[in-house]
Amino acid sequence: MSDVLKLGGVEFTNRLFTGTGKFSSKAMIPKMLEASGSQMITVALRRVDVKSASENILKYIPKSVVLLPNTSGARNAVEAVKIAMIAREAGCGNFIKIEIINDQKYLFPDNFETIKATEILAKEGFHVLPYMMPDLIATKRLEDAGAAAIMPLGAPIGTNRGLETRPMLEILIENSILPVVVDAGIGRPSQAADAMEMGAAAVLVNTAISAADNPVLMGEAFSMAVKAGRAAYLAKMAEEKRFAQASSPLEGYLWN
Amino acid sequence: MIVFNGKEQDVEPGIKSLSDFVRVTKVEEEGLVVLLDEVVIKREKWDSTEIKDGMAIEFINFVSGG
Repeated sequence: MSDVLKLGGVEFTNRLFTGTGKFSSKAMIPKMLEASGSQMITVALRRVDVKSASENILKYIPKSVVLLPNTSGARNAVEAVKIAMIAREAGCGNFIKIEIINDQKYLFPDNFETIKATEILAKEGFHVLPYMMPDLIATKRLEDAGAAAIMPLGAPIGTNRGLETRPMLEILIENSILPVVVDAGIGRPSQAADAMEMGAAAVLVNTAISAADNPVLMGEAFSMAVKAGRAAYLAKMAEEKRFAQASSPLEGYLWN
Repeated sequence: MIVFNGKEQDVEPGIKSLSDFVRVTKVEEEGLVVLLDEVVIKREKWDSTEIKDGMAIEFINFVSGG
């Protein structure tokens, strides 16, 4: 059965998006991508420190994998737009993950500035994937602004706490016309499966993979979980019941 | 005097083009993005881009991030 996720004219057959952050060795990135089958991966842009050797992250990413540059470091829409333009000029394509953060303790995204940046960048032809606080009104504004998908957080970045925002995620999945990609906070494959069972279009997982003892194997585990969760969602799960419902016939018992 | 990566500095004698400037900084050129006064200068234009007093040059590259 064909089940592709279309974003910005690209068809994704794998709904696990990954990140390049926090790998103990960048050489693991291509191996993780191969094991997980992930077809989209995030990168960031930073000023080069000429006094220390900096490695070009792009050389670890196969050409077949779609780059999703993020705007991390941006504190407002103007800075995010600037970073996006640089990324595109540098040959990274039209996908952009808007990430605008002012709160350094919880790293919560600024939805207001994110909407402004999305509006500008969508008009410039970008395929905008905004990282956002799960909020229905902001979601509707992002739809109007031309986002390609929304990326609400499950829990604060890097916490591995899972779907703490579950009730809000459910509302967004139910009410948004855009694909919902759950980003941030997913710490276990079972949580990724959970998000997919809820009807998320994809998940973006970074720390839980890169900080695992074996990131390659963990990438594979997440990929299987995402596939399982998606299949369960498509299969439409049986209804939950308050009381027990026997699975075997309640008549013809052997000793009655 | 130019502004390089946010700091003022003098340009060494003999440096005429952006290519010269990139070379003397000895940074890895693969994946390097150069901004001149906030505009990305494509690699093929580094040779023909003259370094002038007061310019703001930024070296940027892609790094790991989520």
